[in-house]
Amino acid sequence: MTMEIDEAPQKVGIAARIVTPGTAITNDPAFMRGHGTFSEHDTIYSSVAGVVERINKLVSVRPLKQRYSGEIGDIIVGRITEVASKRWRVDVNSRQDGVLLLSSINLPGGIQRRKSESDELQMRTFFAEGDLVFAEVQSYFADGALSLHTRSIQYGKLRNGTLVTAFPQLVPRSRSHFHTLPCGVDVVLGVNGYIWVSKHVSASKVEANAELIYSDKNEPISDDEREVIARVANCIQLLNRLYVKITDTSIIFAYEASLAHSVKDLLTNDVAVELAHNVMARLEQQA
Amino acid sequence: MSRPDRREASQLRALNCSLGQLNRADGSTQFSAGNTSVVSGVYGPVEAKVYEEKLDRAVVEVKFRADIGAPTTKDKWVESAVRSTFEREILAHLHPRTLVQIVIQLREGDGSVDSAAINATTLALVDAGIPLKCMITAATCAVLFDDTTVVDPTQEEIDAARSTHTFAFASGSNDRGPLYVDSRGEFTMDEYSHCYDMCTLATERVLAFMRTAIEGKVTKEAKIGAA
Repeated sequence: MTMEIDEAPQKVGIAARIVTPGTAITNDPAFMRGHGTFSEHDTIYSSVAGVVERINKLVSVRPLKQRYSGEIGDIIVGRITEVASKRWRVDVNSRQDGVLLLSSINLPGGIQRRKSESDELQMRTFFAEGDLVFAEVQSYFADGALSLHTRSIQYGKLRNGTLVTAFPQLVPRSRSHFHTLPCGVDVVLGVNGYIWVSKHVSASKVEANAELIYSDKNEPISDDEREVIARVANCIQLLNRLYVKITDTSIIFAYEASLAHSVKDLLTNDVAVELAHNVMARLEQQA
Repeated sequence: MSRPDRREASQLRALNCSLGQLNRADGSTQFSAGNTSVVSGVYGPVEAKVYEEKLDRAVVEVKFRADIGAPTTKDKWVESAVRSTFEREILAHLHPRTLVQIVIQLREGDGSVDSAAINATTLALVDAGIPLKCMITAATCAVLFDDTTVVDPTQEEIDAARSTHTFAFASGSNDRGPLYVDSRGEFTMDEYSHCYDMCTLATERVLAFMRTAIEGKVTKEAKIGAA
């Protein structure tokens, strides 16, 4: 098999080339360099291994695998790692912990209440270390850390369920990341790969109890509800293992196909492969 | 004089690698040259501890473990060799206040371990998508007591050598000079230059091998990602 080692930069045919770090992409000054590139002496070089992408005048290299790096507007699930002065540090499965400022959360007892000094001193009554939070990316700090906010009734502390970790690339960005599945389970699909599966709590109930948005107490969950939550969680894990995109549709398809097996068996290799193929076939049919 | 495994003086052992085998690491490689086999895992960029973070760049940390025994000073030497080589080539200014941790485990050692560690680390960093200025390839040369120079020596050949030399180069630009040099034993400047030239050729072959492996993986996975 012959293989070209690209040493000279090329002006034409930039798109769809596979490059490795240090490969020269172009020395045409008309192009701007994007992610995955660096420039030295008027030549744009690739800094990662991947496919060269050209959009108008922007040249970038998209590597296949990278840690989740947030974009403004992303809906994510994170875990509080530290309580600091007027802010929390949140593990968001990214290169750096995200930051949730005290001024970016809803204070209990009505959205419009002013932040008081006692709020600063009682930050653990809102979020403590280990809590899971459903938030949106608001902006970046100067060093690239994500700044999060939960300024909406649907965001906040997560309860009544279990966390599943998936590859961030498998969770597509869409209009809504909070879904109620027909089997009676709520699913929060964090774009950073953290997915929360929980017992369904109606929205009206949440709004009625505005004082309890930071409560640590779970609702009572029956054994049947636990089994459904576990089944959905295992379905998501097997979708993740076989690189199937994780959307509400694919989870529903996987759930329906999984009813023929016990919850425990869903993670064995044979069953997982069979169900994943089943889901992929149905998704293709639908498309 | 023939080598124990009947290779030519300038011939490398069979190279083998597989990328992305460790599913908890951001990037990983299993790399082997003949019987020398190394696994490298890369984690990062991740949150750095406050006492070790740098405000304007990522910190690079290397851990090397030999196949048997507790860590010794020799392992620390390999760690410092790998770290100093890659610290300058990783585009660390893109990720301030983070940590890039490189973990290298020697599975089986049969000579030329340090160059295998460097080659495996390059592939693991590429697999992790960490931005690099270039691909870094390394090769080892040994000058035997009968004055012949051989590339990619086995442990048996190293034990019978007067001097050994490991060089690491940046891909595509030899005018930058070597990124890493480690010479041990008694040698003349002529022998050194000869080893330099032989390693330059050897690293070009390693680079071609790496490019094939990476392009194969990128092509295959681009199809999965697009589906």
